[in-house]
Amino acid sequence: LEKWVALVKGLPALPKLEKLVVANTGMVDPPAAASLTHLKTLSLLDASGNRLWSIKTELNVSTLTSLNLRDNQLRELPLSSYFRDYSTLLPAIDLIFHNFS
Amino acid sequence: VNSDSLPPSLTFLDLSKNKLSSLPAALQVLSQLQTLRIASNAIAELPEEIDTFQLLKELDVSNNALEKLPSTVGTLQCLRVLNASGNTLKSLPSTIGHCRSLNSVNVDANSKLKLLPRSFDSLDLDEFVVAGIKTIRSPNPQGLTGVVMKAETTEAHSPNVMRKQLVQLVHMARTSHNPLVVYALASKATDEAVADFVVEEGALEDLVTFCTDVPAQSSTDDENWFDSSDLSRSKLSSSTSSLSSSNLIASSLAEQLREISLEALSRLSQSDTIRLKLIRHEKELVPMLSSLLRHPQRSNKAHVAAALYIVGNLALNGTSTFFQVLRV
Repeated sequence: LEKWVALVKGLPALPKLEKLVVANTGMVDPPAAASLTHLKTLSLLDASGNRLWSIKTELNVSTLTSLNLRDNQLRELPLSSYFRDYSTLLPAIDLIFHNFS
Repeated sequence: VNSDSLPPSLTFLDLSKNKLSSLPAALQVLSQLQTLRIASNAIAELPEEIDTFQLLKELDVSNNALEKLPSTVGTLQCLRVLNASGNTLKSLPSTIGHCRSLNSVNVDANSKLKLLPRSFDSLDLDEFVVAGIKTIRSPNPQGLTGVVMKAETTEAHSPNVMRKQLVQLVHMARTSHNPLVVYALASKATDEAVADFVVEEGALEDLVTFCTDVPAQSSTDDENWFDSSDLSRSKLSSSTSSLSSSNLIASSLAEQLREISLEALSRLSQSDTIRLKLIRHEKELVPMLSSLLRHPQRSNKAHVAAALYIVGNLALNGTSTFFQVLRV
């Protein structure tokens, strides 16, 4: 688990990352947006099988072509811009696993 | 609703198994979407704006609370797969026949769905699931030229559920000329356990009427009805594949079907009688069925459906004729 968190926290160092899979991690809704603008080539995000239930900010990443939010707790759209900036995943993950930030 | 909420670049979006109660029109920003899966939510209605997804190839709206689909579905010219099973659909939009690319439709587990629109018969489906019966058209596993129509029950049901399914099929067969619906009913009609029901409901008579009463047509209306690409390597001689002989064969076939079916309606060992008749006429039927199935573009829709009906019987009765048909 710690390794996984460390990997995600290291995402900013992977500017050419194309696919990000955070499926079945137990992730819940994220805190306020942070920035992960380094991932400018990301085309796939798989966040299925988590516990996301309300995403209030905009999702607008120009390179993203595949979005999998299957098997969550979402009650409404639009999806938030929480995903606009993938860095928001980091505090979310922290929150889940270690209560960082 | 903020139209910037989703990236317009999305081609794949899976929101299945959430708790969504609606699909906001804001999704219309997703003009590049090719796959939209929103199965297993609580969506009661799809927005008319679904016609925004002009590149959509797969739409999965199964297991929601839909009572209808928007008529704008008919504008989706790229749509290949539609799964609307597990809803409360009462009907399908008449525009569905306009979805020229559609080849897989699943409307199983919609107990209120009793009718299919007439336009449904213009679809060239490879797979159709309704009332617990999955009907597929697939390449012959033996590698022979031709197609195999296979019907299978998707799951075991109690007699009551099966009766409801049959009622659905009967209604659908009466309102749609789509051969897959007729075939699904025909395949069920051969089942010993449901033969009595089918006869009671007059369903078999409907099939006979359907298969024999539509006048033969030589117009181009039917040319694209059945994709014959898989059948293009026909080994039939030219003498048996001409339009006139094809129609003669079709008429003869229809007559035989009528005879066989009327016999069944006499309630004298219905299923057994059908089976015996088919086996008795096996040799004569083989070339007729082959001709119809290999040259559907030259035949009347109803006659091809009649051929499918008989082939379905033969297949389900375990005779070897089913494969002989494909070999001729």
